[in-house]
Amino acid sequence: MSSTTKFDFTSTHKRNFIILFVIGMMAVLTGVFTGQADAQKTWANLLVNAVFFTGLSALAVFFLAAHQIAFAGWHALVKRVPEAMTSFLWIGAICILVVTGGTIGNYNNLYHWSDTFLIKEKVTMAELEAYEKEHAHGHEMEGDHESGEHHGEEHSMLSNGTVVLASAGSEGGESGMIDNPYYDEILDGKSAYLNDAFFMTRTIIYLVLWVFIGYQLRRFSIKEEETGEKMWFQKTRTWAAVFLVVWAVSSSMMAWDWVMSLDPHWYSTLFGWYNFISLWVASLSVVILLIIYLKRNGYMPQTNENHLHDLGKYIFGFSVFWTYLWFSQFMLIWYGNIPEETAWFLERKREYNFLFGANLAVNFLVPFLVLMRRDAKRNFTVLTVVASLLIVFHWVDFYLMIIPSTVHGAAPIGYFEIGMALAFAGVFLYSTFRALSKVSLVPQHNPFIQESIEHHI
Amino acid sequence: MFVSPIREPLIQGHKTYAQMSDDIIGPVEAKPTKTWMLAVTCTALLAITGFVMIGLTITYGIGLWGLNKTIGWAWDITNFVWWIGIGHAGTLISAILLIFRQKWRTGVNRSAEAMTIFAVMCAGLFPLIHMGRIWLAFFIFPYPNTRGPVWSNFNSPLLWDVFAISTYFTVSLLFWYVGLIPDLATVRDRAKTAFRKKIYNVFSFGWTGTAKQWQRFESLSLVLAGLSTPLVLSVHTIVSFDFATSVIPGWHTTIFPPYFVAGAIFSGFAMVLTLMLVVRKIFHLEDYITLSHIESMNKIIILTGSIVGVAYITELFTAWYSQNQYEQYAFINRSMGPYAWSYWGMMTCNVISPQLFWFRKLRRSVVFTFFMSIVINIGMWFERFVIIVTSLHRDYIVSSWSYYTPTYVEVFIYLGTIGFFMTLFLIFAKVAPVIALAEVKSILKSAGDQYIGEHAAHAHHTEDAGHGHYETLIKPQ
Repeated sequence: MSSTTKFDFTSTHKRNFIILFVIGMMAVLTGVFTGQADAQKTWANLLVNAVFFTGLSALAVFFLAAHQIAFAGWHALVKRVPEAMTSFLWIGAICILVVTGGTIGNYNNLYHWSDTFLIKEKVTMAELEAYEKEHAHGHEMEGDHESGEHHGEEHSMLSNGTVVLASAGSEGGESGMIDNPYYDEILDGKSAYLNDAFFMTRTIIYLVLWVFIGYQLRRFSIKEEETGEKMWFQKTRTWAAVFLVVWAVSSSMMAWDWVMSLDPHWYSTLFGWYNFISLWVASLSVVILLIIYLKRNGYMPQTNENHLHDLGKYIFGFSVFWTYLWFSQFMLIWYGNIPEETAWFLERKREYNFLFGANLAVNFLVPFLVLMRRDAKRNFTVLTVVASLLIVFHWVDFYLMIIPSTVHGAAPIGYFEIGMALAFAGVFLYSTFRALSKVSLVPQHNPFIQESIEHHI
Repeated sequence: MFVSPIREPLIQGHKTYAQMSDDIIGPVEAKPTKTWMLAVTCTALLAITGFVMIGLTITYGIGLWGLNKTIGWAWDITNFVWWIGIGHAGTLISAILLIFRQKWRTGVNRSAEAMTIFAVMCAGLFPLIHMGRIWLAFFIFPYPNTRGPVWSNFNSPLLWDVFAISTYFTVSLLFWYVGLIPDLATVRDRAKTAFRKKIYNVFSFGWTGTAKQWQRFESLSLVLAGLSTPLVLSVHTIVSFDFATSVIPGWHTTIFPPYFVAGAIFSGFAMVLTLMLVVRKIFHLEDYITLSHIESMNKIIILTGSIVGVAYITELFTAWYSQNQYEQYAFINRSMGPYAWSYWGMMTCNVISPQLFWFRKLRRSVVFTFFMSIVINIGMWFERFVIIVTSLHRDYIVSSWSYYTPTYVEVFIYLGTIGFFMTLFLIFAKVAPVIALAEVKSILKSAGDQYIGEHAAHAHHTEDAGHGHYETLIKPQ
């Protein structure tokens, strides 16, 4: 094979990705220092990007595992790209741990259920006073939380704290314990699952398993390349199966924990699969963009429009499937019209109506209409445009799931939000391209490599 | 086209094209065996019993069934959903697996498609007879009528079902029949008598196999595959809407659409396995439906069974997580109430048992696979029973709580549909090739054991140092 089989990670690449990161960080810092973004908003955006970019990387592991198990011969030539994407996984995992750990350590207030005061039925007068005093400082933030739609009438009068205190105090009597006016029965009921210790334990378990298996799959692939021994293929198969089992459970649970529990009163059984497929489409789009970039720069000469046609079919098909899940979740909640369930969509419709519509329109109509034709899926320019739009709008999908539940009131996407995403993209690309340069882009000892080279559809 | 040395051959026995025609068309040409006659007699008798019971139901009304004011849907709709679900494997194999380029599908797609059509016919019976006054069944179609402003209710998922299922039936029938045309022509070309030639000539539309005909055939197949792919999802999705659009605890849950689809494919594959393992044995088709085919189907069983399992656990978890007392009670009642036996039956058959297929030995065991296919069919029937009956039997007023048991009429209608299904399948297996001959021929060069695998003619001299080790990976039996 020629020398072009290994990607050359030049100083220009490094510089560009660092510039991307720096520009992003400058926007973020400007936002923070000008007060454009308060602490809550900063943390919330960090969560959006941590979940999204970790997801892109975790789904790259899924890509490798699923194709390995399915004996998908065609993918041998492209597998280095998702392999390289897994290199970001541990960085993403740290970001997730920082954000979720931030809630647990009371540095932020993203996960409302983490406030243990809300699940105490009885409190002392002193505790209540201390709680109200503490929260009076961050009144804007807390006020938004308490007057949220899911607290109903009893809490709406809490906006005037003194009234509650007076009435609660008179009932308290000598026992010293009074009814906690902030008591949330639903959160109390969920506290066996939604509590700091168990939440962090689960988070760590998912992340450790993903990072470990992702690392193993990559390591086996490099070993196979170096030694040419066939045992690595078999080992990959075993670990790929293990990953699929782990993923079957953790993909839904991560969505419940990291995203759904932001709005702890709301629930939807489909939520986990919806998150999974949203990330899957985005991750496939990243694979496509990276391959096209490499090809345009003279790498991967054997990877051709047949392989991209297959990947194009994926984003076409899975975009339709994503729409199907979106519709199923939305329609059933709309049709059932149960207030506890519709509240989640209403909040998004009210404050984010444009993005709400754009999310559906772009993520469905663009791939559906543009990629319908065979020649569109074989045209690199068309694929680049569609894949880029899908990445942006699946990011918007996560923005819409996370921000309205954490930053109350409208929070349109501005330079701060874009800056944060660019900073993450800079790190993601740096890590991915660095990994691409480590090993030959063509896995020459993969048993399917010849099938993949001769792939023609 | 290069085929990786680690792939197993899908056609055994160094077949030539002529041998393939003999093997697959042979059973169609032979005189019906005694076993076949006996089997058809039994299944037809069962079917007739079922139709007599349907006649009774139509004459006297559905008061003959065990329904009551609390449980207005029970066996009828359970059977309807069960049959619709079974019908899914055909379209999945012919459309989705075609898109995913799974060559092994050619061994089973013909029978699976036939099965789909017969299963949908059985399914369609139940809503019709549940109407009570079947002679007014045409009311479900929206058409300008003289009944004043009485139209079918477009907001009702039951009406969506009418469109979804009739579309599904039409497309599946076309797909199946179009695929049959070249094979029916082969039967005609081999026919010994003029009469037989004439019959098969009519049914094959005078197919002669010219390049132009094949080109049109290919285009039509592609269009039909494109139409069928969304249908695999839409039909059972709309069936799930029948339940999920309501606000009944246990029914109203957003995971229902994809979970019903996965369950449908799960049960459909189980039924394909049940039928194909019998067909394989009786017609001696072991060279065409190999252990590799069975293993692939069992892998799909693990996949869909696990999806269904994750959905069950998600529902159970979310019922608790919702902290909604009605949701919680629905699931407590399912797992510990009077119908707990059906819930645990469902869990055992659908969630636990398919996990046994993680063992390669079991995946490749014909006897075990046959046994499991029956277990899964039972489990999937239980699933629908659990969803439908246990969610209804204890409604909001305790005085209306009730327990449902089927009457003999319902039992025999259900058994009758099984008889009807089997009869149709047996007749099909006698008059048409059970394996898509033209399609299997098309994969011979890339999947025949004289071309690939360890017995391949050229295997010895092209083998390089590295490839030899793979044979230990795939352990051909």
